Amino acid sequence: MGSVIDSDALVAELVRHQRRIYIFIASLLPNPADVEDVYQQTCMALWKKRDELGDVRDFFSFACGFARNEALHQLRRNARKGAVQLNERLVSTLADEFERDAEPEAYIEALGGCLAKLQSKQRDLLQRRYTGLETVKEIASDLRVSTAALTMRLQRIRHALIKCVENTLAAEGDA
Amino acid sequence: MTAGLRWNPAQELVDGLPRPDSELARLAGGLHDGSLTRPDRDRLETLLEHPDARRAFRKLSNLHANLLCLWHETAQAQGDGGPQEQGGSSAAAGSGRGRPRRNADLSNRFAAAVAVVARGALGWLRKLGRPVPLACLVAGAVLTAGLTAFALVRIDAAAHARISAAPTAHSVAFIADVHDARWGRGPAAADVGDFLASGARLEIRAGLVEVMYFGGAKVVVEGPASFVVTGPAAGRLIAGRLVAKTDHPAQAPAAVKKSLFTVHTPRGVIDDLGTEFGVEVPREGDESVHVFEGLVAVAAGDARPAESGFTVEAGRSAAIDGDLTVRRISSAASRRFTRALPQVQSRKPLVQQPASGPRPAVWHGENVEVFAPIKARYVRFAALETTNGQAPCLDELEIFATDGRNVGREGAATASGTIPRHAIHAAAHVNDGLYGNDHSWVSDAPRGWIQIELPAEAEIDRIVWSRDRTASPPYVDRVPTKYVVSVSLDGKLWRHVAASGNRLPFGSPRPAPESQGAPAP
Repeated sequence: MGSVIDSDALVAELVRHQRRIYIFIASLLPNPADVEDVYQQTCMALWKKRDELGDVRDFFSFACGFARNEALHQLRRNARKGAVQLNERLVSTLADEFERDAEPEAYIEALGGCLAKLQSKQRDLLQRRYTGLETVKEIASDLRVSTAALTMRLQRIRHALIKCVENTLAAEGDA
Repeated sequence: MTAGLRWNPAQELVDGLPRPDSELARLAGGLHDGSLTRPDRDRLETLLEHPDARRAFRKLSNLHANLLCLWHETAQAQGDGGPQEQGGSSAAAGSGRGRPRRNADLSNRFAAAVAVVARGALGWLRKLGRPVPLACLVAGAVLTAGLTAFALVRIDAAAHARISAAPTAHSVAFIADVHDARWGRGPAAADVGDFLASGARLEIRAGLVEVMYFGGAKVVVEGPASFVVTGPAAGRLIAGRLVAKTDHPAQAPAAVKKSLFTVHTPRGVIDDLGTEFGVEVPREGDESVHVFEGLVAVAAGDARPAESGFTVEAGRSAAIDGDLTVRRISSAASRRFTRALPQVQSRKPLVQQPASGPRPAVWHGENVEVFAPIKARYVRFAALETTNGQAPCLDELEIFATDGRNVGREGAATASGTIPRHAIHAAAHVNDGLYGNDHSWVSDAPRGWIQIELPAEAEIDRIVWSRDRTASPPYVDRVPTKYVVSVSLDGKLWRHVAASGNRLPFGSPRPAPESQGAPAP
């Protein structure tokens, strides 16, 4: 029988870990709308289970369990609609690895600095991609390039960002 | 497990990361960008059986997830006006709930993200303002603990209005005038006086729309056209024609630290170096840039105009072709462009445009706004940004009728909010006839508005406002540097009569005192 934690304590735990939980879910589900839904469902599930949280030593890991279940549910819902996505087994494997290797808070801080170093046009392109207002196909149409060419362009930017973030974190680690 | 995979990490990966042109990068990009085909998905699943491929894929997915998160957080940081921004009359005030606010000069959400993260402003309060956990907590709390206060701070970033009747914390421009405009089926239609935030997209089937930027530029977009406002001094012309004008004299590229106005097109970027120029993005064929006055810098693709060294001077034009090459073409085709909206006799532009050059910079003393005579019952001064980022302060707001009387003196002043516990800073002080910090109004938030309801409808043509008109020594902080003055007959439908857009930057040398604030002829 777990001990009960009060609602304030749950809020505090969620606030402390919400960013990592959100990123964990977004790592499994590329569609932003799915991420939002699953995140809300995860929060709701945690709320319902708050009576069991008193004995939890690792809240992030505990929350990831809920998030993974909700993500797999979402995959099933998507599959029924004919979505093209990775299979559940593979996503489950990736979830194990993401949880184990979850990046530190410093990652997103470094990412902010690396975004600032991009050319404005590259940043604009990422902005359009991640605002969620336009699909990649629509952006490609606007830019009069093929979807494949746009994906390649985005990949180059992402590649540069990953290198920049890794270099930044490595430099901070050496400091 | 990996037998028959035919995937060689040594060839595909560099430092554990897929080469941008590798198959894994392409497939992962397709998955993240929603363009994956079923055969591609099957191939990606096969590749991800390899642990090295999975490790590399996780790096890409992790970045994607962090970018989504960053966007998500920034949207909340920007959408902090929440429900108030959905056209409510109090939008200019912002929420003032104490979360860190982004710099209004930032031209887009990613820029804001950069700034938010760079500031390390990820404190407790902002986190509390994020909607998703709150949404679930609200649901749970309301059901079980009755924490209804949470419900009041629910924010829906997706509903963030980019085109709004009232100025918001994110407004970077507004529609100054339209002429025979017909709006296309786009995300939203707009009308004269509507405020535009970064991302506002104007789909114009026909006619002319004049957009005034807080950064100082005036843009006339000619339909059919598709145009997106991307910042206080930037826009993206997706199709159609526009003419952009700034009031700064042309400068040598080397002397320009920052473009006065930037137009992005599908193929390139045009930086305004102090000029008036036209841009055309046709449905087919080359894009073109035509300079009527001054100088612009042009670059194709991802290059930066300032570094391209390709400039186009007055009377000349350039084209960007499908190979992303910029070349000079014939002289500027000024006749193809509409450089100003036709002046209909009965309708003058509401916002006074100086005939030549920008207006003086604002200062703590008298600032004068002159506009075409208009009947009004309500006058509102909305401060969107101040000299030091603190809540705006006005010691006096005077409203002059066409017969020269200060009709604001007898009006009733109200405000979006007033700094608490400071009796010297009351809304009523703004029209009490007394100058100085001790008889002033200070907002309760970094942005805010002060409004005067006149005793009766009056025809007005001039506003005079100041932060501290006393002589020794005056307060020079909290001076509104970005603002809009609006008038209304009913307190509901507002027309904008003056704005900060055509003023020189704060701190610029000002003319002699006797002419300070006077509008350009």
